[in-house]
Amino acid sequence: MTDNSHLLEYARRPDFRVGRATELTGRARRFYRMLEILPGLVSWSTLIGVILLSIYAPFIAAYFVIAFAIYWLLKTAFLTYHLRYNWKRMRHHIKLDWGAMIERFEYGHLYHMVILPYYNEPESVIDATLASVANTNYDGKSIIVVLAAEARAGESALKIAERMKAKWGEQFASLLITVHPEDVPGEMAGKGSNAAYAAEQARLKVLDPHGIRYNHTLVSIFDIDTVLYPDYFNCLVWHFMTAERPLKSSFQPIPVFNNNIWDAPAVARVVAMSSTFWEMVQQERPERMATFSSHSVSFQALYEVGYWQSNMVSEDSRIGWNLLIANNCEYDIIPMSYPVSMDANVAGSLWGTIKNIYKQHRRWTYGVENLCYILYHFTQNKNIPRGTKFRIAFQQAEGYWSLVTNPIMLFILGWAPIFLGGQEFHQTVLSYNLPIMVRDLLILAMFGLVVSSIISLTLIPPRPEGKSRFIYLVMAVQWILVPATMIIFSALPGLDAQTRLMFGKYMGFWVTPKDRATVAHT
Amino acid sequence: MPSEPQIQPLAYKQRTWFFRTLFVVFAITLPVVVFYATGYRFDFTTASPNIISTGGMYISVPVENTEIYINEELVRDIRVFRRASYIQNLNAGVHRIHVQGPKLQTWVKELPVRPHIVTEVEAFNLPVVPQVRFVTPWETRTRQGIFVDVSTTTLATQFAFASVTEPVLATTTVATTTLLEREEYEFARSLFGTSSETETLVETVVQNVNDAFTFAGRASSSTSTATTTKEQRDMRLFEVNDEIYARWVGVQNNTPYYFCVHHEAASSTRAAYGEHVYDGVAAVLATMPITESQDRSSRVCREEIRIDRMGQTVEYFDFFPGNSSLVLMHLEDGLYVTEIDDRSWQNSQLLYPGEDITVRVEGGQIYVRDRGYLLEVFTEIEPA
Repeated sequence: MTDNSHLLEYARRPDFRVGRATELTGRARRFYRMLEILPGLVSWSTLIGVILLSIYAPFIAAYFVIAFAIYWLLKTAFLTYHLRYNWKRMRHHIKLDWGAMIERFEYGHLYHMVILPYYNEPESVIDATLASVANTNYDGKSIIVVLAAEARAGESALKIAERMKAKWGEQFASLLITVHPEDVPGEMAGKGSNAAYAAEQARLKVLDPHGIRYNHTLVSIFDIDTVLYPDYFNCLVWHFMTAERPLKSSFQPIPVFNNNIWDAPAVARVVAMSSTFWEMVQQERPERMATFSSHSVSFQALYEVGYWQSNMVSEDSRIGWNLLIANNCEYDIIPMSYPVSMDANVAGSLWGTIKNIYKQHRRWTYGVENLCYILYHFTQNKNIPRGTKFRIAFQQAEGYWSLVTNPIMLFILGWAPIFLGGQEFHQTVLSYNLPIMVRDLLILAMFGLVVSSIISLTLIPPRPEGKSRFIYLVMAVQWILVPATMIIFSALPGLDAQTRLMFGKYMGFWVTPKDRATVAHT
Repeated sequence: MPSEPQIQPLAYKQRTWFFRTLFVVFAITLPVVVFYATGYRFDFTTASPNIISTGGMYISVPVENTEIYINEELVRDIRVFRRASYIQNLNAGVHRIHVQGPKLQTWVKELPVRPHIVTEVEAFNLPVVPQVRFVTPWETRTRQGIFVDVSTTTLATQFAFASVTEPVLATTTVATTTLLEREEYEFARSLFGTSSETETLVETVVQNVNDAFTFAGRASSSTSTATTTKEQRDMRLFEVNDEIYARWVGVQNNTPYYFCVHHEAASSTRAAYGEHVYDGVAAVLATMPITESQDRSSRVCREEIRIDRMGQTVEYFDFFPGNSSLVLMHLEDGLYVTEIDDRSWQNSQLLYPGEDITVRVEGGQIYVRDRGYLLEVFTEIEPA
């Protein structure tokens, strides 16, 4: 029997790490299954409802569409306000000398454990990431690197790890190579299972033998394409030391998907920057934040919940929810407003890129499985205040609903009353004014894209030799693609993911291919 | 060195304030926009400003370079959808619409505008001077059309009323052996056949078969048998007792707007659309159960519309090429185009004058045989 005495009390429940309904039994299983059906059902009902409303009550549908277009305009203003503010703050944070700022703290006892799970990514990508870790303005001897390979990736992946250890091992306090075994019963092959295995191996082989305390270890889990800015660890220490409850906090940097931005086609650039912007907006409203992609957290906190879940897809966000629920919502996600550079999704061809972006976003939006998890545990954990439960549940549910429905309603179904409304509606002033008003409101909302365009130009690395200056112009105007990218890479994959979950066609972990022609510029 | 960043995270209070401001903006904007979209306007023109209900007009104008006048005033504030214009902010009541352009015939109609409702209409403007192209029997090696049995002067005199879009040669001195025969001429000539005004036997048989399968309900309103019928995009033109009628034979929901009028009282319908329209409405209402005739929108759709032949005999009729709302009619003094839309009146415009002409429509082209010459008649002014 596994010893779980180190886990927080709530984390000891057998259903704490539930990944899907089929892992439960009886009433709990039925309830969880209902929660899995709920998001897709609500989204589909909304979309079908708008169509039915357009047919049977076109006037109400038209009023709804107008209200929605105004809402969208104001939402754009709201998000742009947050985005611009965070952009200003992030630039300020990049300029700060965090090393000097943490001098007032006693932090010599802190260790940074950098976990780098990888599968079959090229050596150059791993090398660039390790180089960026080694080149940070932080004492390498306080950094423990864990290169987490997958056994199913074969001998070549392990060989890469060994070469990397030979090259970079001396730079760090330790460079541990772990190999996650394949086909472990109850596990889903993916980043979560690999990271959890790596963390436990690091505990057994590095922390415990060297007597490094868990509450003195800050774990940073990075996607393998993550390139650090020089002051990342200093910035992390500052946030850790100034946090209200440092051991009950996760620290979220801004993932800027710009490593290979000069090699990315316009559609990939827009999608990548949009993802960055979304995280920037979230940084200014931390109460809505979930951990995402690369982030940091104390080893103590991780150990208390049993590391990342190994039985589901979106482990990066789930660990945040695990920590929040196990700690009865007395847990913070702290925005660092400091960037880490990551890869935009780029394949060998445009069509390949489009397919990969779709799959990547379907995986991301499959994070809706976390909504089921949250709602389920909110009914189980009686120590969480009711108001907190309601606020978080509403924010998350609204987020997943709007992600899927808003773009489709705005850019496609907004015209439904005109085409489906029938003769009686068609002859009204409202019918003729509807497309005009919606179009005008959307044009007004374009100012948000102008701001996005300006900000995006400040986030791209220096122009490599051989790249035309003309691309700057393209990068400025590429934002007109947003209505299409919102539907194709946000709403449709989101709907796809929710539908799969609704029908119990559970998704596996799809590894985003990382291939980079240009080395990161930070 | 500062011990903490100078730019602090966006304060919750500030974010909440901004959110609440936007919420107030939403709450104020929504009713204003909805009321505006439905046609309500604030009227400042009166001594005591008040809210009025307006309607609109959607005018299809297939020809470019035209201007729209409503109540003799040029309309400038219009929304243009391809070849149609949407005019808002019209007060309820009957409005007189002019659509005119340089070298084009003027189209005029009076139509009622109702609050919150858009009145649809389609204008058409044919050239004042007929635009023709000769279909010559011969052509030169440079592909220019040529007549070999008439002089240039004679030809110019005979067709002085028209604008010829493609110059042709006319001579009596060139031998045809040096020329090429024009295939189009043979084709055009075959259209007219030997018996120019009668249909071929095959056409007649086909037509009779089609008529035999016409739904009884649709056909029963006509007391006599149609002798000639044309059908295009669910619109049927037929002749009964020397009169030409248009009837919608498609799905009822897709009935063209001009078949339908808003009928609340006989007097208002007469005043808004004319006596003849009211007669059609009354005929429909007489055949309908009371419950059906009193639908909430007061919209009554007539089954058929008589085409105004201006007291002349109809020699030939067909649809105007590419438009099932316009009828091409060969009357005693020329070839006319008349709209089916009979609200207030039907506009008729002369396309090609002549008392001794023969007309055929084939493949979207209008061919006329005039004094032995074959011509194609254009419906728009050819760009210079």
